[in-house]
Amino acid sequence: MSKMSVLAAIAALALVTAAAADTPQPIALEPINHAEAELIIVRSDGTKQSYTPAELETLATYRVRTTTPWRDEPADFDGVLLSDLLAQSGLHLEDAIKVIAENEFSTIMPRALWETVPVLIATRVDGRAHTRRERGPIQVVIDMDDYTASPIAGEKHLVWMVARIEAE
Amino acid sequence: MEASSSKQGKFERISALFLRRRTVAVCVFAILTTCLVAGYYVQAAVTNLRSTHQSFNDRQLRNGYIAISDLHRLVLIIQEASLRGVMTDEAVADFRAASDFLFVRTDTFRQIQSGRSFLKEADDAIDALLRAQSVADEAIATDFRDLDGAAAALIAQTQTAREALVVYLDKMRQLQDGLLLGQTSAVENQRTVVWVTLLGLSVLGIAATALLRKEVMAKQARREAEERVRHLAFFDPLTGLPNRVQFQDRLTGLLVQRRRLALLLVDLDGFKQINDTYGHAAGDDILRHVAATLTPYCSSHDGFAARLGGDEFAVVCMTQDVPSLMQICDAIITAIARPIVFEGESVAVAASIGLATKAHLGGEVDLTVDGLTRVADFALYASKSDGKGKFTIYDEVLERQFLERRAMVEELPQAIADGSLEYYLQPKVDLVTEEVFGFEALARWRRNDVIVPPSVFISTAEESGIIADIDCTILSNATRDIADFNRRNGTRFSVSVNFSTLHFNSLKFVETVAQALIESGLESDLLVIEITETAEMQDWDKAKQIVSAIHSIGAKVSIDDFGAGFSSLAYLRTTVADEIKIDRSLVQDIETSDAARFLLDAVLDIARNLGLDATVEGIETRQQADIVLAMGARKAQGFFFDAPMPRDDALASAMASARPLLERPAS
Repeated sequence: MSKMSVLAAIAALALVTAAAADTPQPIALEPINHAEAELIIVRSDGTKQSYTPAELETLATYRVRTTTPWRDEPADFDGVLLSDLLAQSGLHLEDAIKVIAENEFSTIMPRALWETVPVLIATRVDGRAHTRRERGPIQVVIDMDDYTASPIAGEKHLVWMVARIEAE
Repeated sequence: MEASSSKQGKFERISALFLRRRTVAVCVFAILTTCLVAGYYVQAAVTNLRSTHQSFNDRQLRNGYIAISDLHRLVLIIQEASLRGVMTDEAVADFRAASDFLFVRTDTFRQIQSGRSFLKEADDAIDALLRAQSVADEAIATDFRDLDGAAAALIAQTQTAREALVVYLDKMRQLQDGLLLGQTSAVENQRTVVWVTLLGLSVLGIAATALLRKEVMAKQARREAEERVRHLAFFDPLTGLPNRVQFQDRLTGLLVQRRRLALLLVDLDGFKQINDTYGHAAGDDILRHVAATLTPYCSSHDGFAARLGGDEFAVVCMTQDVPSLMQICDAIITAIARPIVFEGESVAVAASIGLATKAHLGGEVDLTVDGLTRVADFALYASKSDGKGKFTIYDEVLERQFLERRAMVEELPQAIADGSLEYYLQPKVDLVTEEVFGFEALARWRRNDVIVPPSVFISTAEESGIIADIDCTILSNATRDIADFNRRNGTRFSVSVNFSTLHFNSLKFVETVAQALIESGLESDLLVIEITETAEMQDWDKAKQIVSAIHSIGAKVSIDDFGAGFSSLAYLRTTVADEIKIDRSLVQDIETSDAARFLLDAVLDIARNLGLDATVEGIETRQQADIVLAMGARKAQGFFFDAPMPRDDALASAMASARPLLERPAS
């Protein structure tokens, strides 16, 4: 094997690793004491379903290491995928959803967003329970590379202190 | 008209201006400068807007308002608790949440502000928010033990923070206004720049378009002129038919392709008379009529028609089927003969056709355009000789005649060179003195030991142009021989030499006559130049000039065959002639016809009245000689006196003739 071939193989491996690090990685989370919080899902027929952070974590959990517009240093965000949550709640076929924060901030997310970009509903940061002062307890997080590459994703979609998700 | 001319002149001046390098350089410089100024202007506006954007962002404005809301939420909770006098668990939770909201808002505020240019109002607002946050955190840390105190402190601090935020938001509004004004101003500036640039570019564009149009039009005019030149090179402008050049090219191509074809040469009969009678406009109409007549016949046979020049046309038909071609010839002759109306008068012309096909050409004639044209022309000549208004097919008989003619054309120059072209002398007799006073020199060709009469080869010599050499040779030899004879025998015989009117186009002919007189030493008054009238004689002024010139060197001029040609009386316009020779046709019936006698008498009267000598030709009997003498004619010539005979025989006969000629027995 020539020196050039070895270098090419190393470069390819580094690229694959980097690509893998950018996408949400499945992770098994140990139970912790979460801050008191509640996420209410409101379906189009008006029925509701409530999730605590711990209940959310019964879905498949993932980790994303990324910065946010308010964090210069990257952090490990753990949580569940919005697409999984919507699928479980029966909102995955909606054209759009409305996400409302505890401080009454609200935004509309189109279906194309969660179908094309892995959107994480983060319940932990750096292994700790997510607090309000860290924009928790429930925060919408998108890997910064995906966020930058997506023509749909915007800062308004990175909602912190998420309280409700409604069918739009 | 003048306005148009002035406009054109102005345009020409502008065009000339743009042809100068300096003008173009100035224009390019002006365009570049305009673009640079415009670019700088726009760039300055963009830089200013970016700078304003650095200080202002709608997120900042939104954060300011939400921060006020967060402060209000915090104060409201603690004020209600203070009014109630107790901080319930629910109120504590709400207070904590509101405190967290404010914390995050302040953090967000700081984050947004940190990436931007320093703004004191923002720092003041953030400091005030942090102090309010600190009071709230203190209240939470002390578990709201001094509820009223905490509420008062928080209200005071939030009031300060709110005021700072209002100042900050006011600053933001100012920046926003500035931004809007800047954007508006930038757009207006851009509009001005765009207008100026567009105006400049439009002016240049219009000028460039006008110049381009002029160039395109000039190119188009050049192309049209070239097209016209090309058309004129290959088409006859009067009839629109292919001309001789194209005829030769196309026929050559067809011959190379070995196509079966026939060539019809069409020549109009009496076209000159139409031109003379009705004018050239009528002649042109006739030519167009002929062209229009010919075109359908050739196109229906995959051929073409061409005008070769004058009243000569050619039709190439792509068939060698003689019956079909004969039908075509008949149809063409009939169609051309249909009269046209010119200025209210009916004008008609006839046509003769010579037809030759490739199949008719024997091995002796080259299969070329020239060869085919020559034989078709020969057939045409036969049609003309046969009475006109007819067509003749080039066949074996004509082929033999053609080859004979061609052989003569080829042999005549050699005959002139080697002396086999001789001349015979026929005496001219004075009817009163009964003496021979001179001779007419008549060309004879000794060809293969057989004497060929002029009727056989003179017309061929005229057509081929060799007649000039023949006439000059006879002139030279006859003057030399008669002069020698006169010197040796003390006689004063005159000699008449025939000249074709083809010579009467140039004064060089006079030089030839003068040269012959000088070289021979013949007394000039003994030389008579006999000219034969023909239809080709057109330039009477020139003819008169030449006759006068001959007369001036002492020689005499005689009009030969008077009364038998095309326009005998017209010839008499050349009144400088010395003599007319009355044609034999006016003599042959005078023994039996009063009318013939009357006519001859009248002609002799005309000659006398014009002061011209008259020589009567064709005297063959004694009785004719007597009658002519009785009419007062003095000079005669004819077989009764002597036939043309070789030079030496004629001279010897004249010298030996002692007895009066008129005493010879009647024949």
